Amino acid sequence: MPAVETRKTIGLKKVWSRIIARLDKLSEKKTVVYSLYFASIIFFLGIILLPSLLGILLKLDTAMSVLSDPELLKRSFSAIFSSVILASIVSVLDVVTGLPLAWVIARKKYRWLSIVDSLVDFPLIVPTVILGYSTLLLWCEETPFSIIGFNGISPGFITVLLLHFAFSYPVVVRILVGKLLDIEATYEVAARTLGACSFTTARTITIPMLKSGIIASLILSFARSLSETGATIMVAGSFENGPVFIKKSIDAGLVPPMVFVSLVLIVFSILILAGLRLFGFKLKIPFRKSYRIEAALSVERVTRLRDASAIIIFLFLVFLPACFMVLSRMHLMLSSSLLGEIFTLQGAWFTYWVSVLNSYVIGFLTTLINIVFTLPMATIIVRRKLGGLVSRTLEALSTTSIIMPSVALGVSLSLFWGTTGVSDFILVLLAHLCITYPYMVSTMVSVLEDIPVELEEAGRTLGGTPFKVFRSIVLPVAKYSFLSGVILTFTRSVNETGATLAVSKTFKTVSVLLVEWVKAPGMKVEAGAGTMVLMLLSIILLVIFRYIYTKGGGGVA
Amino acid sequence: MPSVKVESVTKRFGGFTALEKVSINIEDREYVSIIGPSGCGKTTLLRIIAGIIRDYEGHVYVDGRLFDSEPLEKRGIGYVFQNIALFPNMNVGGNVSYSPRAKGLDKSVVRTTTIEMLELMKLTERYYDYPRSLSGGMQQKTALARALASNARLLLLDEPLSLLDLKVRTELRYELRRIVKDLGLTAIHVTHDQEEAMAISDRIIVMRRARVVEDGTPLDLYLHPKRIFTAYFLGESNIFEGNVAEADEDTVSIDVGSLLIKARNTGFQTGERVVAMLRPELVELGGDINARVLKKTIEGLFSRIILDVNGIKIIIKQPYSIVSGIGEGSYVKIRLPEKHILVYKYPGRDLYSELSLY
Repeated sequence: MPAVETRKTIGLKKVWSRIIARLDKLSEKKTVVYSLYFASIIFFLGIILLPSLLGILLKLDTAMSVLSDPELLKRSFSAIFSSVILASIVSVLDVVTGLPLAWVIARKKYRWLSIVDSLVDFPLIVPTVILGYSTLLLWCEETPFSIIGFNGISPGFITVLLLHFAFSYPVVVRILVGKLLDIEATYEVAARTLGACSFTTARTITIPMLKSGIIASLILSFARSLSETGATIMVAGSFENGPVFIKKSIDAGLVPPMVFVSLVLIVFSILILAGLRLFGFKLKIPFRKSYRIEAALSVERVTRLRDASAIIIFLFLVFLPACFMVLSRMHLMLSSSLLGEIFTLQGAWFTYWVSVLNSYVIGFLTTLINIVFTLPMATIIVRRKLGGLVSRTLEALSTTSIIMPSVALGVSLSLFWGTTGVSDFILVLLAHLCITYPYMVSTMVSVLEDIPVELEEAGRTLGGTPFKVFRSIVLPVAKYSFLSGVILTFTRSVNETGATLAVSKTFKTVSVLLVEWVKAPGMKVEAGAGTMVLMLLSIILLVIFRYIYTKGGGGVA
Repeated sequence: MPSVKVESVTKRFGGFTALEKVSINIEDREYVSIIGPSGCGKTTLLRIIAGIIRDYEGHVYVDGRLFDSEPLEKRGIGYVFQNIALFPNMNVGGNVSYSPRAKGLDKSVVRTTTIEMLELMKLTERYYDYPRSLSGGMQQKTALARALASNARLLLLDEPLSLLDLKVRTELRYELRRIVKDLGLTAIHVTHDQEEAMAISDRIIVMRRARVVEDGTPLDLYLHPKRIFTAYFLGESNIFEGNVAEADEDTVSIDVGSLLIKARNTGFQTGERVVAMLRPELVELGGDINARVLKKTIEGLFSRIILDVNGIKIIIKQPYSIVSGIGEGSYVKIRLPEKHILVYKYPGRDLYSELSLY
């Protein structure tokens, strides 16, 4: 038997290397390369941008009815205002608290740091809606802190803030760690030898060099907070931001508020993001002198305290909420015969496993398709392949769908595709492509930006075809960033709920199913168990993925 | 004033020993080069003195003060990096004024120090330029100005010239020494370029495999190295293996195969296995040894000629004009002057491993 198996693997290898060789050859042809650019633009306009916006734009006339209803208008604006305030606070909090942790992970050399490093990814695995429910349990309904006299708060602005902080924090830390690792330690050492204490060094050297990462973090967490719907509703109480208001009006059968609020949010966000891009990069932290306080903040006792509080903030405000639901249901799960039922596919668990499979298929396809189409797009943007104006416009547009409330995106997509009669599966795939596209593009852009053109050119002069150069030089160099982009896209797809619910009635991803279970009266234990299984699966998947990537990646086939 | 004393410093990275009980002394206002093959521990030593590496065994004293637990930023050391490491987010002026600003000095002091250093390095006109628009040489000059503006009395230079063009490198070399001497600084300069070390230093410390081999003035190390490795590593040398055929109080004759070499006796007995060394520049023309010219190349004003003497290769270096008539294949007569030949005891293991760089 083994002989047959080896022959099979050899056969596979041969096919693989033939495909690679063919691609190598193809990538040399100008026409092929340009049709790839063309296809990626068509994909972006036709699949991502147009459907997300057109569904709303088609109903533009109805938005006017909001303007003529002062009550509705007032509510709309108060919702928009809340959204913007919330997103601003969340993104600033994320960076302020995420930077110290990223710093610890990237700069310190404790052995246990690799554990913290992997724990950071953990909340990404948890479906956002589950995180919402978990947040509700932790801070409001079943708070374990009652032993220290904290009896929970009622759902509202604070719980929404905690929730948004928790789900955007890991992404911010990921981005900042990646950027910090790219900054050579020599600069910091140089500043120290010149007499700057560590705090002054951070303020004057590291943070200015980290600017692009900080801006990217702000944009991502801002956009994510602005668009999240499913989980926000769970913990919002009477608090109403844009997405909550949209969801409420859709549930009441009203489309105009959705159109109106979405439009205003999109315009507003584009302005804010463009402003951040334009002025953020020009902004400089003035450095006239160092202050006494900085020396005091650089003392080892203080820096240790800072590191410790960064880790504590992460553990209590991000990690604990992410796993609290599972933890609080653990005793029930272990005491019942649940585990057996889960793996023998009894009753509801059959549906569960089908939905897991659905999620993974969708996640895999989403990631793959996005890689294929965002890479040429990122090349166009970074290397200015079609001129500066086109590149810049594409870059600005490519992040649009990230700021749309996911419910609004879902509704817009179903309005757009609904008439064509495509299956729910395709609809969900399209929705996920739209949602994850901006993440993938911005990752790819930052990957390419960090690679000097000279390196690629060197590869080309040594006889590598464009595809080969990408495989053997670009990918290995940008491994960490590329990896986090892929993880981000995949997990985001698996966790997505709002838009998935909006576009599909029959095709259920695991996140959608878990939300149903959470809401169903008698399914609390199952919901916990289902979440736990999903988490375990995702962890295994992440580990396998990292292993394949670090061991097998980068080699020239 | 900064004198530096490194006392029995050992540093291990995992299983790799970077420094093994290294002790060195550097006088105030001395310009010392540390030279050795890559991986010999010279940069590690410099980083320990600077305080960049903190966990090591042994002690570092600057000016007689124990420096082991002195924080990096309080050491008052100017460190110049191989990769230059100018802050890309600041212009030349910003880089040079970094240290006075970081130390919280008065605005007027910051300004005068910066201008003074820029004038010293002839960079005043580049004040508003960003590092990326400067040539390599200018960048390193800026880095030097930046280090000097910290008012450091001790300058640590980590292969500062190795990434520059040859031309710029040689120019900057002399400028570096001039500035250090003019300002009365102490400098420790790590390099793997022996020519640079010879040209620039008051004293050279030779290192290999985590240890100090020997130290001395450039000329001393070149003409009278105490260890055969130094002779081999610094400049070019003719090295002969052989046995003492005859020894009296003043001279030894060494049988190196098909040739008998005479040298002054520095305490060897007949029959002893030895290694003899003679610098190519010190081989004289017009003796009684017949040699055939195998290869002739030009190095500046000198010709480097590889000769064959009964199967033994001897390299000589002579002014170009003197040997202009000698072509490849022709014959010359040479003399190996007794007073310039150094004789060493044959190394304990074998010559090959004694001379190996790593």
